[in-house]
Amino acid sequence: MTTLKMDYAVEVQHLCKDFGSFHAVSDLNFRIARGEIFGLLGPNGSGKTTTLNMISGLSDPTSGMVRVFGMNPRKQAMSVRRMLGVVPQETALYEELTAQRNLAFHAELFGYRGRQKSERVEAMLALAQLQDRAKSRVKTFSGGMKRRLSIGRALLHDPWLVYLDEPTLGVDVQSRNVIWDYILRMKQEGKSVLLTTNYLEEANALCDRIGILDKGQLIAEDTPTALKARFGSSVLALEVSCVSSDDVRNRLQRITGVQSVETSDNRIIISLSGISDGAAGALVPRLLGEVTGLGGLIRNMALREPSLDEVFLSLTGKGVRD
Amino acid sequence: MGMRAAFHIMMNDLRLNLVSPFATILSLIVPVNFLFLFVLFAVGGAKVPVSVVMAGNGYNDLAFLHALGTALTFHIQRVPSAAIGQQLIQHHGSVATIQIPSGFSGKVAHQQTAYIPLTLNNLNADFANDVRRAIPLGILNFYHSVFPSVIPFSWKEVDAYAHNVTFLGYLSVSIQTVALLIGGLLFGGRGSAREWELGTMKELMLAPIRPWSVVLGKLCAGMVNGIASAALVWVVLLLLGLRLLAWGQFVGVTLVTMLVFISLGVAIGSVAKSQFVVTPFAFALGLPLFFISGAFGPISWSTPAVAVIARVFPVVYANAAFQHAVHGYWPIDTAPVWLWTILLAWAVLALCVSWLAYRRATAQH
Repeated sequence: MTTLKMDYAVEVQHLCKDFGSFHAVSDLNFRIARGEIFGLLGPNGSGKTTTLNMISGLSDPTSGMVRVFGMNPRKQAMSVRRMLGVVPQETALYEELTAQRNLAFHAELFGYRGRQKSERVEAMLALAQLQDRAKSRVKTFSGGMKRRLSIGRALLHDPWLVYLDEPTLGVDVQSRNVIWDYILRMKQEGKSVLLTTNYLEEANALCDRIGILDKGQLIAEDTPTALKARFGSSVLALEVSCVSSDDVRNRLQRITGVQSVETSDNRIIISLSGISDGAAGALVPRLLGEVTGLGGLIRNMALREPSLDEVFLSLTGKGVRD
Repeated sequence: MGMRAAFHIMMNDLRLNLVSPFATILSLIVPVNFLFLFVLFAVGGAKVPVSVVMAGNGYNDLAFLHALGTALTFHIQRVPSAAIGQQLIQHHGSVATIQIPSGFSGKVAHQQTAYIPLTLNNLNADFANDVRRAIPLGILNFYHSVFPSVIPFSWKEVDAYAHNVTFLGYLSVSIQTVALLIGGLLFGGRGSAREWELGTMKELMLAPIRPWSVVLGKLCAGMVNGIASAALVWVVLLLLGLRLLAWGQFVGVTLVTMLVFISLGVAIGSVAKSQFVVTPFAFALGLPLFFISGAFGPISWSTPAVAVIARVFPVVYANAAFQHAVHGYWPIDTAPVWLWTILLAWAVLALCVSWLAYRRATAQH
């Protein structure tokens, strides 16, 4: 049997979960270090929620192992739950109760009493910047306020591992920046963070490492920089007209230094790899020449770093998932 | 920690009920509405409105009018002519016109045949049959009072109990049962389903508390609400003049019945996970059970099939125990010890069902 260490906040080994004949999660392996922000990305139905339910002990794996700080989240559920703070996607607050009462109830469930309870509630209201709305019913709050309150609730019992499911979904830019600050502060305080998001910009800005799930399997796991490098060192984006995209793709793909070419409508995304800046400087005029040589009219062009979106789409495909 | 967590969950549920008291109001309104409905039915529907036209004012004319009144069927309205009686029938002011003809007193005194013209609105067969039954009864009453020697037999009533139980008195006690039945399902079901709807069940599942604390907290919240609701219904019954003969039994059967239906409510809420499913379900399950379970009289007076079905469920036993606690008699042939055993067995079964439903719902999360 493999020895699992307390060094990791989360350790997942050969994790599988089947629902009848459907394999929701297949042979999943990853680790989250202490103090690390780990992003779990994937299209809808890729197995993110199933994985998180197994990590938090809400469901049993079909096979494989999950350890949270070295503990089995099913068999040592009480201990694991004390270490785990959850910010669900739907915020899951008692809308008819006040912000203060929502936090107080959470404190009571985690065994806080008397002055200690009041202090923790006050501290979390301050963290969520909701002191002046402490006595207001949650149903009167904006989406951003609810999200901040939900984060305050998750942090109230000072967990070691915080799991945030789409923490900035549907909030404005100001609230998003506040939430990003919270997450980065959690890391500074030594907490481990497990984050799921569909905003790859968010994953890029916050995560130390990213795991990409698709069809229940971990298809990539690395730092955002390393993942982007897989898509090439640079991307040349062109907007063209008067040319067949198939012809352009066939022609460009044969050129040394071109890793991949993707076309849609009048846009051409050329991924360049294994070339230095100087070489790119020589390659780009050649590529432009090939396009114009085929009769193409270049309306716009940009040379930039690959984005995480491009990495994600190249790995998971462009098909819509339900 | 488990008991304390259950206490906090109960308190949280009670707070939520205070700020959105839908179930509380509904569980009060429905039984009290039933009470008013059946009171109106009992008061307004028990006697048949008839018009009586009297041609004379002789001794026998008045005696027959009195005899009709003692038939316990007619709401009598005297009118001056048959034509006005006919108008009342046509305008749905009465069901029949009874004419006591000219010379009635003399014919009866001379033992001659006297005909009583009766015009009957037979469009409502129920009321028409009431009239058809009551006219001979009125004639019988007349002869009993005016010519007692003509009918050479009588009856001697021996009451089995020291007091009468009126239809309204019996029904009012049944109302307490339906309050517990529907209220219990609503309180238990909505409290449980609400957590799923809000998504807050996940918070409870991820808190360091035992699963039984959640179920216990929900049950206790339902019990507190149910007791408050039952107390309010009982106040209405007190205003109607009902008094308790056995307090202990009344409280005991209230608590056990409430526990049964709140537990079943928690189970339904856990499975349905929607308050909009729980509410119609509570009525769909509760109302038929109420009506077949001796709400208006002992179940042995209903059809055998209905009585057999009713005996499967706890409502009939709860209602019988309530009737005994208030009116001092058991309207069921089940021995009290068995009745209590069945009620307690149902409470244990309902608790197990609520626990299993909760575990199943959380396991499938």
